[in-house]
Amino acid sequence: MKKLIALLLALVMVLSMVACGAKTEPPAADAPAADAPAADAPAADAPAADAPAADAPAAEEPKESRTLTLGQPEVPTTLNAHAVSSNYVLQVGHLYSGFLTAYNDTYGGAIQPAIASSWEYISSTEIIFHLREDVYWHNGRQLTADDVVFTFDWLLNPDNASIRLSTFKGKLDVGSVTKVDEFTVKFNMLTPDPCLLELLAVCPLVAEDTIDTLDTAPIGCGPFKFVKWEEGQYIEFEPFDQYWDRGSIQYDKLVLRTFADYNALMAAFMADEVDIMLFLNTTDIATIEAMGGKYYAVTTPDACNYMASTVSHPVLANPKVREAIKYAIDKQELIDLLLFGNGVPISQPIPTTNEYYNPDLDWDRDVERAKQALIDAGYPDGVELEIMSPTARQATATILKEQLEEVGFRITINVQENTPMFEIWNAGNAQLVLAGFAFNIDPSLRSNPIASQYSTVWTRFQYDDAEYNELYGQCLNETDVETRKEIFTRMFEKMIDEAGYFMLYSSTSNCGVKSNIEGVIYRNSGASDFTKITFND
Amino acid sequence: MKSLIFKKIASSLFIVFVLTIIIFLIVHIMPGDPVTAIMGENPSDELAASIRAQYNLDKPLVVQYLIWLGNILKGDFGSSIFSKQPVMPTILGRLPRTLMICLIPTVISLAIAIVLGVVSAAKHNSGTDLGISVTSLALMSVPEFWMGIMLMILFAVRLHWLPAGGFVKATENVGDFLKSMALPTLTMVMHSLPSKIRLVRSSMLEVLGEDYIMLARTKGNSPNRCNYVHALRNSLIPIATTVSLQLTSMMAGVIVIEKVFQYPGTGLLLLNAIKDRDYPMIQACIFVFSIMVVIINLLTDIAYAVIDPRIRYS
Repeated sequence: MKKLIALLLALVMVLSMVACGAKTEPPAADAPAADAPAADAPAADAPAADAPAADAPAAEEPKESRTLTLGQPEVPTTLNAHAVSSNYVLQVGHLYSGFLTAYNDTYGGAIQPAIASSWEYISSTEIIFHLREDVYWHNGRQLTADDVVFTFDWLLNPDNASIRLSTFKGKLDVGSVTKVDEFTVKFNMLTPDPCLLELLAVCPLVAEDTIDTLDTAPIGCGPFKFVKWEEGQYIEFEPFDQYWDRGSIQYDKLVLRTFADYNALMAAFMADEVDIMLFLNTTDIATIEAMGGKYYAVTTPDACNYMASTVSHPVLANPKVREAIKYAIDKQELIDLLLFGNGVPISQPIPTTNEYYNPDLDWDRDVERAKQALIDAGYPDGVELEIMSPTARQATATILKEQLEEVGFRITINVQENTPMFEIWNAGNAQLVLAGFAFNIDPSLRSNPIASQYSTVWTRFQYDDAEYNELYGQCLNETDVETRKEIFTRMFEKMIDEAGYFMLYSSTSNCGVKSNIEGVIYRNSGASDFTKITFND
Repeated sequence: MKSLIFKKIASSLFIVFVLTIIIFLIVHIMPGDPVTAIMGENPSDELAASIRAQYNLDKPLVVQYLIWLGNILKGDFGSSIFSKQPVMPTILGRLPRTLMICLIPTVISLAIAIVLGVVSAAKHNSGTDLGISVTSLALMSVPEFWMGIMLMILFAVRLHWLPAGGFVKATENVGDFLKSMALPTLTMVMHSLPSKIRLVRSSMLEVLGEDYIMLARTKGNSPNRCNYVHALRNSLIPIATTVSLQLTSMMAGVIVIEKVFQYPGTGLLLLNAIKDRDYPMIQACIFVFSIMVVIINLLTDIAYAVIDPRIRYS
């Protein structure tokens, strides 16, 4: 019997090793054979970045290569940032893609040149972009104006199913971007858009000869060249030698490890298998910073968290009910309980540091006023409402439920996965919904959802107001800052009091970084930059 | 015997057909669809229509099912809506890893369970028996995901002996392969071991009370020979049956372990596909899992008939 068991064990082991090794091929045929990230993991507690690759030659001299290992708590099913609306995929896209413009390292500061070295406004709808002449695709071909024209003609064609179609629809049409000369393009906008430069900073350029590679083995024109993708495990890149800012990249390999579970990523980060942990929860900042200075957090205030109302709902159509909700919410309590104080209460869809933010529109919680408003609304015994929340915002929903019930509401929480939640919400079948978005520098984009004549998501809010539409149209065309401030103030008033679109607090994008690494520019929304990283050990 | 096997195979094929209907309905009844998953917060009617047409999602459910069934019969399980790659090669590429993480722990835990179960039964009501029983009960009470996390914290985060997750192919680096397999295997072993120990122990206790064991002892056989040769061989019959059935339940349990340790098997693939509502991938994954369970059950049924002639003639 013992022999039989031993034989069985050996047989299973050999068969499984052979079977497992032979089945999956790396997407890139010319990829190096043995460079899995686990092989780069430290043997004991040495920094992962220093560990030699598993396929290092037997010779004793250490290989002078350096690997930067990122980790994110999501396993992408495609590498194509045009295929899905996902920040996780956009993070991948930012590694290999090129962009006309870029966010600078200070949030809310400005948009800076990238592949477009400069631009000039001919009118509010005509913009000329001058392209750098030293940009190359990873297949070695030079980037020209034709590629920019192709990108926008391609993404604006619905047959190509680019997710960026909804971003530029109504602003550009096929043929709107034209070639002026080999390195100059002209954007002929259908309507003025103050956010155009920001939108270009998250719209990857594509080329006709490489478009078919994007899903699994992308060829881009960004800082990192795709090497291979072990699906469900990691994506490997190397700095692109012909990248126009190649000199700023101080390492030889970049590995993005993908985890289906946040806690598994946290464990890998603490086991020193990951150098930079992307999408770090705010509540974990204190945890990593308490570990003897081994790690620190990079935080960028770039997310707005809100509760939206569907005003066609019989109860929420009543302005007094919305007033009761407004004064029942305690934003500071949300920040204290959810973010351990690392947030800022806001009432408008922009950070408080934005020049268009009007602090006069802020309000404090007033339980008595909220109770009175509910009585005035005709609900002296309270009224039932439902908060629909994605799984990630369940805690927010629970706190809001308590706050609203204190003034007389009877709240039920409907927790949904993102996908069905948007389906219900888009159909206008929700009541109160918790969600969030990344801030933009110009407030117009995030004021758009409730502008029924302009918005593609108007059905969620069911708010149809002629004055708001008119104001929104004005904010797109107006260039004077003071006049725009007045327009936005009026829009924000209507947003709060009429649309029940309640901004709650701003939160930060966070990533955990090992203490020997500096120069991380990070945003959850994808516009991160890992090219300026330096190692101080 | 041949007609029995033929009947079993025919009934299995019918089960597979029914399964295709159930799988298809389950997947399409789930709230949300791939179009919403693709577009997220940026819906566009034009774009949605284009995607729906591309994947036949605009057709009636019955038509979609018939198209899917027809393609299956041709061996075409479709392509992932996200990666655009054919789903079956992806699944088959990962299946050996999932089988490995089921079979290796099964064999290891069975080997340990036999030794501990026999010792426990042979020393019935002793301190050793009590120790083994209490430890088994304690391990049985621990959820496998929690055990996995605890092992990860100990061996990866604290001691830095093993990687916290991931997988390295044996063809790339055998040492790293074994390291990447260690924690998931250990977790599965520790989770499946207690029930097997208790099974071996109770089965052995039953056999040890039989007259022929008493006879073997009175004939002067050593306790080890009585236990391991005479008793164990007879107690293995119910154990073998139960272990084969346990294997099917382990196929479900392995999904949790794959997620905890980022082990890129079929379970993790299925989880991600469900999150993204990648219909072709979900359907193909569940189909493969279902086929495996059907095959295991078919083989078990046939094995019963081979072992027990009464089943053949009933």
